[in-house]
Amino acid sequence: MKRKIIASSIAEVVIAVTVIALCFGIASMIFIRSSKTFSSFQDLRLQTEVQSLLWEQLHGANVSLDIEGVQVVEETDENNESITVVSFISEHNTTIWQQQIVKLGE
Amino acid sequence: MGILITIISLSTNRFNEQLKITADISKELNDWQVVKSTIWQDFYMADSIHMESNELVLFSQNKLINYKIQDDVLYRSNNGLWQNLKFEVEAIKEEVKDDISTFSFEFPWKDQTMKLSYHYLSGVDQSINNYFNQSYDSF
Repeated sequence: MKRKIIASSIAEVVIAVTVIALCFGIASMIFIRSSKTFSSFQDLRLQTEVQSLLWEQLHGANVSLDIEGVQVVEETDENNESITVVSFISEHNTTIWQQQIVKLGE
Repeated sequence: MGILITIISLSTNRFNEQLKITADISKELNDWQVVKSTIWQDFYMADSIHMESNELVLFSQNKLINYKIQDDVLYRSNNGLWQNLKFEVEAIKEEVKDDISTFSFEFPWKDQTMKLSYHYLSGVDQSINNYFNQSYDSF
């Protein structure tokens, strides 16, 4: 019952491996692109939410910038110590928004 | 050989489909950015904002902007000229808390609701208008 498929030349093996690699490459590209797309839509939704909160804060409301799924990182600007840079980072480790805020009363 | 050609052609077709989907998604994301920046700009430039018979009305100097929902699609008018923004919208709302209005658009966004809201703080000009309107009403 043993069946053997005989590769008659190295060329056939090379072609077969190339085709497999090509298919695998395309499949992985499709997978990566589709997963990135989903995160883009999610990030954009969170970005809109962050911007809405920042407007509210700008107009004097005392609001918390904590949003589920968003990490807030505050740093002093490298070139100007009187400016704080607030970065909003999503679960996918993408910076969805950066806001510069002038430090008052310091 | 036939199998190989089939596999390659299927892969290529799928890849081309994926490229088309990616282009469509980029267009969708880009369209949203255009709509969003237009709304933010209208809000920011407005001297006065209010809801009037299910329409959001924004007054600014020499300009009257309206937003309305028609057939679940967002429409914008600039000085009376209506334009279809070709973007689905669920609701346009005004919430008033402590005499401060928050205007919001709710968009259906990939099985979720995306809320764009603007916290409207009326300026001195609006306060003066309100004062005179109240004074006028009292006569």
